[in-house]
Amino acid sequence: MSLHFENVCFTYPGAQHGIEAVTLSVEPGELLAVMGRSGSGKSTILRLTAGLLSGYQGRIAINGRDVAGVPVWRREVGMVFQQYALFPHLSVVDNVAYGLRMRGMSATNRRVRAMDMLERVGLTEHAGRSTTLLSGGQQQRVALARALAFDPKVLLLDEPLAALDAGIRQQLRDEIRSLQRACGATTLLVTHDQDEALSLADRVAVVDGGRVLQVDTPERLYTRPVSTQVARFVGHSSVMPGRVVGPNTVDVSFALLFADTRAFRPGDKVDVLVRPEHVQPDPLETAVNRLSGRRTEVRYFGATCRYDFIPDSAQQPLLCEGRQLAEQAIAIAPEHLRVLAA
Amino acid sequence: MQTPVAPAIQPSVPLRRGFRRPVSAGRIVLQLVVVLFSIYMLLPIVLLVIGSFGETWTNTVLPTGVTGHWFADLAADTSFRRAFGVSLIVALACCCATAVVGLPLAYALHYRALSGRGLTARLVALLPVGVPGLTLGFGYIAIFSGDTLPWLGSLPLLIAAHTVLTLPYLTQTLLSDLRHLDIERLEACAATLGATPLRQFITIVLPNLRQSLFSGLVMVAALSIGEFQVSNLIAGFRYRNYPVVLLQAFYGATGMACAATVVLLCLAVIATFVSVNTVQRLK
Repeated sequence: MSLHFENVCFTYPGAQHGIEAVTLSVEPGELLAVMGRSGSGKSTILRLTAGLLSGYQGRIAINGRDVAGVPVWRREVGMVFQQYALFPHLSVVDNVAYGLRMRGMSATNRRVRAMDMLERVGLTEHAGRSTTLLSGGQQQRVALARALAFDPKVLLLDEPLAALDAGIRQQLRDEIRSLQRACGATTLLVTHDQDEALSLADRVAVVDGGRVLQVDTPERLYTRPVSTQVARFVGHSSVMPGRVVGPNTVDVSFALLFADTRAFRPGDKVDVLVRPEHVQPDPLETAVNRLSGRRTEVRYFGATCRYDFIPDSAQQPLLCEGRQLAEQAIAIAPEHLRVLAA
Repeated sequence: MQTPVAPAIQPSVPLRRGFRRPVSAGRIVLQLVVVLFSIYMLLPIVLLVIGSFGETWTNTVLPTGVTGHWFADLAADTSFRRAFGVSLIVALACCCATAVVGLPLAYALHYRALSGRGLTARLVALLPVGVPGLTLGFGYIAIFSGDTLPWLGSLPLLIAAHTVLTLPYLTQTLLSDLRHLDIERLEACAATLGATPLRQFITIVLPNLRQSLFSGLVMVAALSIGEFQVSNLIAGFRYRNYPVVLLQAFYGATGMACAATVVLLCLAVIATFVSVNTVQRLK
């Protein structure tokens, strides 16, 4: 089962925001994360897929079939809501069996299927309990089992871990991933948490202002962002505004840096991006892109340290990361500098 | 082995055995207000109970003699028995009517409020609470005493009037529960699981509103049984309800009137207990 968005536009009635010309595709069995800040339009994409919003332009197709005009209850999408949305008047097993009951499955068969799903999420012994007696993590597992119980064409996850403690988040992240793979469910995940998106998804779509900025694998999104906006959103980075002054040379006001500028012409305004872990502390005098200066703030994270280093004549510090701290100078290899259009 | 020695208390540390917080004047005034209010509330009830067991009560602070015959007289009185029956029928019918009208009304008001268009509808729904009962009663007389709609004094009109009067109390109870439950999220979830709007209402909305529906209906029944103002104006001789007959009892023997009021009071207390217990069981 696949999901396709083709040039989909939607504006909320009486408001200016929504999504603009969104084109996305989720291939069968793939997990695509839509990542963006609050109000970026990511939840709109999810709700349009589910059919909870209507009145859009463009085409949304589930498994090749246009779903325009198909009501929510006939779309065959399983959705996990941010606050779980478990039915408080039903037991755990009845919650999981609800979708099967709506499809007219016999009581015996739906109980067998619901118990099977509960076994997969490790909640068999809680089957008869009220959902209000479960912990946040257990409630989220029930919501996941309920959404997958009727073999949906598409699984939609709306910030599934946002309401949980940091400790349980990592464990549930792994569980969601393994269950999604085991069920082979085509999945659309919406999140503002980049750790969640990068660690869970096969591909990630970064959205902002209702537009998709980049769709790529987590690795390429981190190493080859197409714009400064994406780079700032994914991981930590330092961005130095500058101007291309010659072949593979950028003037960043406090230094001339050597970097790949093949996509630009001399005189073009650019942003030069560097990830903190690519900054080399106290290099040799002969190192390329060597910048002398001084270290300021140091933040200790156990396995690593993140610190600020202000090159001589620079106004803003560069963010650096590593176990060894720079004392007097840093260097950035040209292949680790990414030049982006300003 | 060394015996543990209690640490010596330094002379400068004052002992605070039996320490009590100083009682402020504000606290005393507050307690006094609570006591006075309780007396104000409970004294008439206590006097009614005493009066219902008093032999005679004329020009004295308290009745004289003890008897239980007022309750026996009350049970034997056909007009009271009939009024009691009318009150129960009206209350029951009123509960059914308010449930049938109130549930969809509260549901619609909730969704109108969510879309920011609920103010006018809510004002109309709350109107019977704000408008004096007399105004409503005179309105009914004006409309239903003519030849076109000659229903004044009929049982259906009495039920309709009670329904209009009590409907806002049920809808408000349901509305607060709908807001608290975040019902639209549960419905959206049920929809993604394959439930049509009707099945969402039956399998999600109704079961989740059962507590507030029940407590709201108990309130409706209590209000209907105790309703006097409008009933006195529109009820005919055949369908006088309990409070209307009760007022006439006060023109006769005081003990009888007290006993009749105590019966009404007992009904209210039973309704409250049933409501609280059932809601707790439903939880």
